[in-house]
Amino acid sequence: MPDVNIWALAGTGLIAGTLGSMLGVGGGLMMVPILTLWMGIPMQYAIGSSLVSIVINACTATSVYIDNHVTNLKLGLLLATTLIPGAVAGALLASKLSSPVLSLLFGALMIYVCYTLIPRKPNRLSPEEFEATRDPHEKEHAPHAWLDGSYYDPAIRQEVSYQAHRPVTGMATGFFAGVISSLLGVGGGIINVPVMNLLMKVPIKAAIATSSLLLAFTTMTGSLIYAYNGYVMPYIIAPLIPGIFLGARLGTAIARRVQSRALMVIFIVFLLATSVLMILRALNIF
Amino acid sequence: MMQTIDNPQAKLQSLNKRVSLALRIGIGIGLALVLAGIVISIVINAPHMSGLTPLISLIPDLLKLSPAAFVTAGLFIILLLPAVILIISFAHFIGTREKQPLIVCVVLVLMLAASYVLLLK
Repeated sequence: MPDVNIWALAGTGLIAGTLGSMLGVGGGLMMVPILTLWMGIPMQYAIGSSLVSIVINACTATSVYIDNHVTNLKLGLLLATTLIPGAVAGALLASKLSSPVLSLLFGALMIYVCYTLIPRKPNRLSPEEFEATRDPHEKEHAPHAWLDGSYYDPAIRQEVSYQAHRPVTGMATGFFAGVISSLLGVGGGIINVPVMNLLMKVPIKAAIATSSLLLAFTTMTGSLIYAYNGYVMPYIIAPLIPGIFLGARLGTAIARRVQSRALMVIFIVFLLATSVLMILRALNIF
Repeated sequence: MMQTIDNPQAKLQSLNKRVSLALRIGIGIGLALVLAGIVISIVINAPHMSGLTPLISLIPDLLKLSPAAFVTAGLFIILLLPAVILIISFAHFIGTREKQPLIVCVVLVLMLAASYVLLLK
């Protein structure tokens, strides 16, 4: 095992913690390459450290988001019921499927998701036109009204109330997100946030906060198994933890104060960079 | 408007507060233990903690002020926090008799138990 600089580890934790909690993605995506390529830590130890870091980051971010009522706890618990079996299925499938082909397809899909997430100017419709274009699912909303949420947004200084649409589609996609996150080790956040925002019409801030809660559930199992198998080294993880904790507090504070539109743009840039990186890795260019 | 315990919004907010408090306490204790482990390793000049302490010898090693035991204890407290969220939510939904979230909690407990059994095999 190589010698590691504890300040470099703490700094890595701070950056991953800030970005991970601000965007609801965990931060493992940037942590694994830093630990392996820059610090020379073997892959399995890097993944073990990354998974543990995501749990810490997700729990810290959730403690802040849920205190501010931004996290939709009921929606998070519901989506976790399919994400967890998805993550287990992905872990079992990992040895049987070709990772580069999946990375390539997934990267291309994420670029398309980036395109659909780009904020556009709202169309000004007459009341008749608005009624005609209303989502038919809205009229069948009553059975899942228990998933509705509201939170105070300090950036616009008003209460935001919303309905969570298409819970069944969200759950089905959640299973897929769990499979992909285990297969490619990307963390479910980059799938959960667009699914909640685009398909379920959950505002971006609530989607990010709820994604943090989901990450805690999906990575808890994996990190305990890595720890059980001896792939979590105290001298690597100990300096990372304070950095992640501070980063997670910083990230949640930024996310609360930034306008939703700006947060969406940051998320799209992060998603695009991730997708390009995945395609390059699949093609053995990076 | 006065918020009573019958108000669903007030009930949800009280659940949110309880979950947040539990997470803050858990993270605080976990972080304190990890930091204590780092400080002890620096004081006794043993920067390379060889591995996590097995749970069976955790308490004796904590009493011996082993840095790895402190980090292990802190880590396990933090790693079990998602399960704490589930337990608090489950107890809350039993109290409020909300059928759908209660079913979701039960399914989630079964899922987590099944996934451990499957993956640890």
